[in-house]
Amino acid sequence: MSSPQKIAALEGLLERVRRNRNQPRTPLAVAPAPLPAPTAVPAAAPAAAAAPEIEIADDTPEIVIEEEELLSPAPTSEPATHPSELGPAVAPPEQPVVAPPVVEAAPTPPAPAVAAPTPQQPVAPGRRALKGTLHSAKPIQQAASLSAEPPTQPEPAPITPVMAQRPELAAEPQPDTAVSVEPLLAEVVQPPVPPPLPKPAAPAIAKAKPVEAPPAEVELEPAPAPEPAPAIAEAVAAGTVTLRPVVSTPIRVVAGDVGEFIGAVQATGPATFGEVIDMALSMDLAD
Amino acid sequence: MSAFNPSEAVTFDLAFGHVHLDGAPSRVMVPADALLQLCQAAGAGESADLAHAIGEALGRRVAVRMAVGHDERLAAVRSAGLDAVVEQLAGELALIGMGALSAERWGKALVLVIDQSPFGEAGDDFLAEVLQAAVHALVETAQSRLVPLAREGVRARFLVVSGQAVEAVRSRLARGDHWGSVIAALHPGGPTS
Repeated sequence: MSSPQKIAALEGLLERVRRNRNQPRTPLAVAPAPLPAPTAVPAAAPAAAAAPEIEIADDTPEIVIEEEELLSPAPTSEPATHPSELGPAVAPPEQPVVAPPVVEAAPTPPAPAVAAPTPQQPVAPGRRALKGTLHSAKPIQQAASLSAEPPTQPEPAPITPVMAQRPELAAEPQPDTAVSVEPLLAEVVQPPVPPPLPKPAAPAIAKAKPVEAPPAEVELEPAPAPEPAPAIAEAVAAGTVTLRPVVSTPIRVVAGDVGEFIGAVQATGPATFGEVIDMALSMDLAD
Repeated sequence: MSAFNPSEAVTFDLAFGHVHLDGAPSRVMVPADALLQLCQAAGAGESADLAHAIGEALGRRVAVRMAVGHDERLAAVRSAGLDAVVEQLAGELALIGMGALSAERWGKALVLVIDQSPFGEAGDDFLAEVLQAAVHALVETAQSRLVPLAREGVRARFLVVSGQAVEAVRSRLARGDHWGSVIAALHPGGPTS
């Protein structure tokens, strides 16, 4: 497909888009040719030099593509980032280069209609009219769709060679490329994320179920075996009165049952607590 | 009077971090050595006050428990047998970790025995104050005194005497009299009575 035919096809396509959106006719300019990624642009492909040159009259209306439209999300299909994906007419790269080939090559003079700025172009407030910023894959897919038209239509002109002949566009900073590089660099520089530290084990008491009324666990060691009461006669060696212990009440703990005490009381005389206390308090010792 | 039953006497409230003793405010479990050092640093008066607070609460709990089913608490305690009172008192003392209590009667004398005191010999005076306050709470009399009588290993004996005899007993013990001779002297017709 020759350039005029391509332009006509694109114009028809854009006209349909305008009618669908019920918008006023926008001046038609040249079909934006996508800027291939630097790494994907073939280095001085022979087909680029032989590609027909686009010549557009000055009065040709330009296509004004709003930024929103260009920056709209890409279709579900993957955007064509490689020249081989742009269509059958795109020449496959022979050898990849890092820098854009248009910088080193001596291309033909650029097309004035494309390169020249259009200050008369109305710009909506808050919006920026983008011309020829081919960082969206949408136009590329549209052009590719044109190539799928009936065979009666001539083959579409190769897009990549056209772009190679426009050094002023190719040499311009390509936002998409810059944007795409930054994340890559960030990924490289970004240190590896250390694995999450294991969470410290919660204290066992935090997991313990609140005990409302737990049974008391009082460990009572068995009292030592009661020693034989010392004979008061030994204690009072020179005493004339010998007192015998009438009560020896060691509190013993029954083995295996901490809750039961057995008190063995061997008492003669009063046995109530009150009487025992009164008797003890009645004693006196005169120095 | 039933036997001492420590079931559910101590509640460890893990949610609030409290330790409750049945019928008593929240407890704090502290090392016995640290408590003894604190008492020694505070002085005899302050240490006695703390011991009295512990002992009164202890004796009150025993009295309340023994008064169940009786019209008057004091009458219920006095009419109870010595073994029953000692049993309850020993249980309460064991719950707060102050050793094993038993009792001995030598003639008229009543000797309270503490085995395995966590304070050791240095805490015998403190324990005597605790027991004295407990007896006060039981019989509601301020005449009784408890004097550390003797220590044999882990066994400490405390003599229950009246206030008028306490100084004579202390002096005899201070001069080195055997605790048996002191008890004998307390009885009429004894060696030095």
